[in-house]
Amino acid sequence: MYTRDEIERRVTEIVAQALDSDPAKVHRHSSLIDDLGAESIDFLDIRYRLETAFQIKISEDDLWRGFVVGEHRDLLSENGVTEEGLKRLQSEMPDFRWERFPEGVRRRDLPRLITVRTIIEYLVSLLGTE
Amino acid sequence: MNRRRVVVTGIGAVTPLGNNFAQSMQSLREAKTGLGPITLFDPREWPCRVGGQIRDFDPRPYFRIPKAIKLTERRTQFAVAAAAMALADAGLQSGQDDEIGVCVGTGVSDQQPQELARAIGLDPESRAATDVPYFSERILSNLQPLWLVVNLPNMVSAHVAIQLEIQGPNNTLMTDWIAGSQALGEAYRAIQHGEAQIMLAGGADSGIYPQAVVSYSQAQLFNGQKEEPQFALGEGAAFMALEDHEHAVERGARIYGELVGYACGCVSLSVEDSHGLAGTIETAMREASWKPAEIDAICAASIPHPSFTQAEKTALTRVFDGNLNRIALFEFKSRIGHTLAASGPIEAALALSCLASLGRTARMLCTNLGLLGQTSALAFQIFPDGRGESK
Repeated sequence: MYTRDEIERRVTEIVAQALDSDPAKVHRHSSLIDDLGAESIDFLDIRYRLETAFQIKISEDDLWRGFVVGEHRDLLSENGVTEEGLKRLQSEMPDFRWERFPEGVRRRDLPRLITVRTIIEYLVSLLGTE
Repeated sequence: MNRRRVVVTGIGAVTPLGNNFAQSMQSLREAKTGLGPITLFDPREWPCRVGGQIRDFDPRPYFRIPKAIKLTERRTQFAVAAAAMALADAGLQSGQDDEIGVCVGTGVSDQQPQELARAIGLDPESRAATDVPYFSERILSNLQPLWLVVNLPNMVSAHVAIQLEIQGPNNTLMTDWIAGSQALGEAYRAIQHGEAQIMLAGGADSGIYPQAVVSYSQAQLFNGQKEEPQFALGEGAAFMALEDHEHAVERGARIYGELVGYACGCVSLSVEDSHGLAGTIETAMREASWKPAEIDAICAASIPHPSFTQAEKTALTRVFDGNLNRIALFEFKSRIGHTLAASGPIEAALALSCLASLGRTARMLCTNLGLLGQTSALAFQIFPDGRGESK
């Protein structure tokens, strides 16, 4: 069992290493793609590092969909995040750079919503904490 | 068909003699050796403990996107560095247009067997090594996902192009020890035929890993003592910026020399049958319109093993006969080891630079031999004054 702090520390470390980022620039609200330069191959790398560090298996489905929407699946319509959904996400992630999506968040934009916090919350829900 | 003239406008290299070309040449002048104790793995039980291992090399300054370094192994890092240095030496900047291409000769990597073994070792039923469906179902997910991408040979030229933002023709040659020489030749042809105006062409390879030592040991190439080997392995990369002559003159580039002939082939290495290598040499010289008496220097493969030295000696005698007495013969493997696919370009660059300091035009032939009889020959006209004119 890990504490929330431990999970947060390890996730930050893993993301910083995989993306060759200065750990001081890896914040909870940092978008892996827009802020830290992650590409699709980096998500595979990060998933593997998380699996190894936490001795878990992360499925394909979780990697792309669970990471982002998880418990927020009801916030998605066919086109993307609903208006109501967007308001809810904005209140949960106030430090995120929402101005990057002046026309709302479409389905193809979803990977850009993956933040360090997304991964932390995903692991907390999977592992539980002390 | 009207072929374009092709000149050399830049050189970059990472060799056992130095982590850039200037340092490498300086070490040569000071008669230093690039051979030293192998430290990348423990060679205690192996037939060769000494090699041309590159030390204290930091790839970071050469990577525009440092994140990509995790996707590379040694030879790719040497390649990106050498290509970047060749581009800079030519006075060119990256990302200009799609008129610059890349052509690299490389070999197989060590395939990181420890990673594969680790994944297979996690198998509780010990079936993974022989049961492919089982492996894919149960073991594949234990393998580090970047493993394949790191080890694919064509990633060398891909990373060079990505880091230097080069969008022209991109090619990888895998013809064993002559791959780098062929890369120079193929790049030469590409510019001759107008496919690109500039090509960063060269070789990158590393022989300092256990499987290489095992393979060459099985091929009975290590015939000396462990600490003073005749045949030693090396690593490194060298690139030349090859450029359309008119383009180079128009932009006022410094011109090291001109590539005027190229040929390749594959022959049997038995001494009696060495006319194949002689044939390759003659074809390249015919393209250059050179006669045997007109050559100043030969940079031969000089692979320190009887089969190769005999084949080469016989071929060179056959082509040059009495002229061999006055032709300078370059030999670098005793100082850097066999750098495998990188050997052609590394040695051609070192020889070219030596001749450029002579103060007059020189004609150099670079010949190469592969383990199974592959041959190549490149003819370089070297200019002393950097303007591409003969004296």
